[in-house]
Amino acid sequence: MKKLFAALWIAASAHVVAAPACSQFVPNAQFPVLANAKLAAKTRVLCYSDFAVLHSGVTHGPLWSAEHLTRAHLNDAKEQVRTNKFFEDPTLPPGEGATLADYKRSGFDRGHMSPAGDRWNDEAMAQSFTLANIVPQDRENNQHLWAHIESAVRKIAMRYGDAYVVTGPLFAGQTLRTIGPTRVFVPTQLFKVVYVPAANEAFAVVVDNVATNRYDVKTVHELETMSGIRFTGIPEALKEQRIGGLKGV
Amino acid sequence: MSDFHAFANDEDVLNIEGDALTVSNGTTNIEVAGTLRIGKDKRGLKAARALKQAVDDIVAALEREKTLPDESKDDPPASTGNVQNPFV
Repeated sequence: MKKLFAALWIAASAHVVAAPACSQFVPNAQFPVLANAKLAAKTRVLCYSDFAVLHSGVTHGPLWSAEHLTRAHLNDAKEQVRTNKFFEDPTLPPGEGATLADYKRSGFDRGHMSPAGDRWNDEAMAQSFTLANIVPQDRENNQHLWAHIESAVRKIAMRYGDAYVVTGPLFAGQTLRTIGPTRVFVPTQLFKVVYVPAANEAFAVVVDNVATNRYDVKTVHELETMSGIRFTGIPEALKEQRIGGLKGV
Repeated sequence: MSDFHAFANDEDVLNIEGDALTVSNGTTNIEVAGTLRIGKDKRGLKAARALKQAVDDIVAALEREKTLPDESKDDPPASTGNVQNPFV
């Protein structure tokens, strides 16, 4: 009951306060901010045990999913062997969340934003299968390119001890595709923003949501412009940095 | 692991070593995806056992079927829709 109350309170105050219960997953306890006000309709912050999501009742999925990767937790995550279950988030009002039926025969993978492979305990791993953390993702993309990107980001966190990561969909163009009776928006692209405090480094990667092996490295500023989301927890001084690429991708 | 029942539903995913290897259940198809490095160690044994158990379960489920077609056809994809982008 206490948990439910907390979730409701967080939902009600998503635009008012910047620090609900799960602000430890974002740098300097600052959640990403929706600079494009059109994104803000029907959004609510959902706190899980080791990641946080801003869910949109318009796209019927996450706008961003934030996690704090640490070496110790990633070591635990590597050991995980368990059966998980995709599920419809019970904390969302009816009609806001995607349903299992939406994805069935949709031709798209149920693509994790905060990946299952980063979760360091049973509860967190089970929670990462909430459809609130999932977007319709091209199957090839999810299983190859995206998996390599996730793995490269894990290696960075392992090397430097920790990293803050935000993953989400981008919706570009006048018309968007949808799947299922709920009309879940299909992202045109996916992004990851990575901030590595120990390396004093921040960067973003963007990939088209199609079968591709290509990813684009962006500065955090460039991604902020593309996404309409500001990553306020990342130091401004790092937002113009451009890295060469990701190892092993 | 014992809670993975081949072809029983479309929701279950067996994760081995995080998401290094995933066995995604389905009522018509099961998908095995990823790359698993099995070390000559206890962790490797744990992973190998999980994989074996899942594959054994898949084989048993298929063998239980009295009439298996040579190749089943995929269900036709569900139709997708379009929507005006409300964010531009």
